[in-house]
Amino acid sequence: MTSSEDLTPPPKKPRTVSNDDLYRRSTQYRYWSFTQSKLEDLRVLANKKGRVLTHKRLEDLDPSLDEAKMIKENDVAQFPYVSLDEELKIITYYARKCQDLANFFHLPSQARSTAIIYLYKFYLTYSVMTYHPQHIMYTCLFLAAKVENSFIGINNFSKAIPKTSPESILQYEYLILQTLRFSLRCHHSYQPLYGFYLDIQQLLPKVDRKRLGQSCDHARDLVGESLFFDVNFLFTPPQIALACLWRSDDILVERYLAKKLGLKRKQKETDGAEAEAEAEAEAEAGAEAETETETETEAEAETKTEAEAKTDTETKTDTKPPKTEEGEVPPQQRFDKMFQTIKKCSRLIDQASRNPSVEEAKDISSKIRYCLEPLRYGRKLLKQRIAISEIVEEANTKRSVSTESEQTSKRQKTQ
Amino acid sequence: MVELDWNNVPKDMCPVCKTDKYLSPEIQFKINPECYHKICDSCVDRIFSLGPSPCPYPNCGKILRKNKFKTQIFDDLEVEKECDIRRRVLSIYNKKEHDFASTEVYNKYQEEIEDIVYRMLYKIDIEKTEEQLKEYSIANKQSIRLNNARRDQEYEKFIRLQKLEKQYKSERIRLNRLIVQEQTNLKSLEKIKAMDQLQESSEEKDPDAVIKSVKESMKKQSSKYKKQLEDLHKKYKRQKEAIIKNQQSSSKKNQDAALRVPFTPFDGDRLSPKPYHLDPSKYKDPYLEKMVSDVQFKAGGYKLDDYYERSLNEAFTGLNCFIEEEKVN
Repeated sequence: MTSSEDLTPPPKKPRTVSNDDLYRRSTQYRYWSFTQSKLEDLRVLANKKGRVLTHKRLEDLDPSLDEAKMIKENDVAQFPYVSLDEELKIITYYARKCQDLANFFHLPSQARSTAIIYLYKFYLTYSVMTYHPQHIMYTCLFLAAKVENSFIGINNFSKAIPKTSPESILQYEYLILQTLRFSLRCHHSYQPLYGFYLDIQQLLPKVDRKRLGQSCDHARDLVGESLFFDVNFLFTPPQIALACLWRSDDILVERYLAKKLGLKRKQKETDGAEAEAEAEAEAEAGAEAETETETETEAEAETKTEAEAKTDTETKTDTKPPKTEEGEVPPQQRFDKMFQTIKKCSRLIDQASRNPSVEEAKDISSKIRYCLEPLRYGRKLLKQRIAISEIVEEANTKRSVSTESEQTSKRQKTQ
Repeated sequence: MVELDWNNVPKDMCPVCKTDKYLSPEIQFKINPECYHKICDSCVDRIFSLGPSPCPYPNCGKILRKNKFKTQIFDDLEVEKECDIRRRVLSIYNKKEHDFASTEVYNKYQEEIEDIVYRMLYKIDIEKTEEQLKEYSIANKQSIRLNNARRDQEYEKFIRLQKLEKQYKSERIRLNRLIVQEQTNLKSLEKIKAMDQLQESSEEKDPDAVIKSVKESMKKQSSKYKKQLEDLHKKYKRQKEAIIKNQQSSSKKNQDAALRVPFTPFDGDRLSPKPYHLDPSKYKDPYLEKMVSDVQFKAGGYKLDDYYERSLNEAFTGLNCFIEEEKVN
């Protein structure tokens, strides 16, 4: 066997596949990861489609109806289309509702997150003016529970939700599946976060376990929160997990990443032992202080990050590009790139949330109803007009009465 | 009734059941290489289906088995006998000319074979000859097996070649027929077409030119089939060569297969060194530890290490995929 191998070299050197390559094969990467601009384009497109559809509904109205006449009279441009911003708000509103509902059913976080992601994915293709998010949300949750192995029977499901029937929920199921392009797997950030939790323990054994556990718990909550932002379309689950962890404990992530990417060793080589020893002592002091009181640690953490940021910039300017193998990016660059990504991701989560107030949501929801059924809008206009005309009449009669009384009083005066 | 002469059985009659080809035309005769006595098919079924029995011919008494019976190929039983013997001897003495250093040695070898066949056929020194055969087969066990395998392969190749040729011929005939058909069709069509065109535009166009154009279009059509025929011929030649060369290529293929990496979902490739180092002894998770110490979880075969590994794997799956850069297009 060995002799034959010696004679002829192997036909093809097996290409190595990293975990990242595996991720690139996932549907989440292939179908549901976008650049920011592409994501916006998709939403604009969906909104436009919704507008066109609503417009068509308007035109299809029976023109003999009073309501239709009213709409025609009342400038078509004033019709309450749902704007892009409002769309996002209402989707987020129903995503939150979805979360509450999932908690009501005691679904695991995996299923809950999947339902929310499905809802967001659905409205990348359709506008809320095409399908009302409330109905879609129910079906998404039902579907997600099924996909994530915590099935709820449709009868029990619809019984628990007022004003629904099994048919009303199931009728959208296939549509949603189709819109999702039948790619049902959602990679969430919970598991990667736990992975980092383990890896940090292994790589940084000095870290206080209690504090680590707390920051991880906090990060886990943040991961749940991140679902309501676009990060799931823009970043990969581990990146989101790191970003959430960074938001809850920035020093930890910085130290971890630096060590992971082999930055510290390089620093040692280039900067000399002094800076390193200082940093080390500082970190240790910090770690000790952290255990004592939390308020103090926060203050210290801030100062420390500043210090570290400084050293970071220093090293950037000082270090000569470290010698690495061909084709390999130097760790400093990799570190910077990773950090930029994490910061960007974290900033997105941080952004003013789209959560609308209940009033706002009601307003948008009624707009959606008008878009879905323009007749309602007509009816409303009709009512308004009647109301106005009533008021006007009332006013008129009042005025006439008052003028009469004035006149009589005048007469009395003159008399 | 005339007594049957067992030594001289009529040609078209089974001596056991006396069935005649005249009365039952579908009768088939079988012989057994033990004694070469002819018996009809139904008699073989009847007598030997319960296991080995003696030959029904008087004065024969050889024990025959059903699976050794075969249809007679040659009319002359002597020829049949010789063929069988020759086949048997050649399956043992199966060296080819290129296995020998010189033609003389090879001729001697062939002479030996002929001697053996002759002696076996006429039962001269039969015990000695059998002994010789046996000795030779034991001495050359390895090479005999190898040569037999080679012969089988060659035979297979031959069959394949034959099949290919048959296919090629039928295809060629079909195409040729199509060409002929098309030509006759076109000729009649051409006539009609030319007439039509001449009638329609008798004044504007030169009649010769019209006929010429029609002829050209006809040629184009027929040349299409000719081209197909050429292609077919080329294909046939190529396949033939492939089959002839097959022996080497197939062995090469086997070698390649041995070197090839076993199937993986990603084109025969392997995971690169993992970006993490799994070390369960260093992990501490108060919540999970409580769970693992519980017998109920252990009983189901729950392994904490697997869970650790899965989490770590997920943590580094897609960490270095920068969507903003990679999805620009």
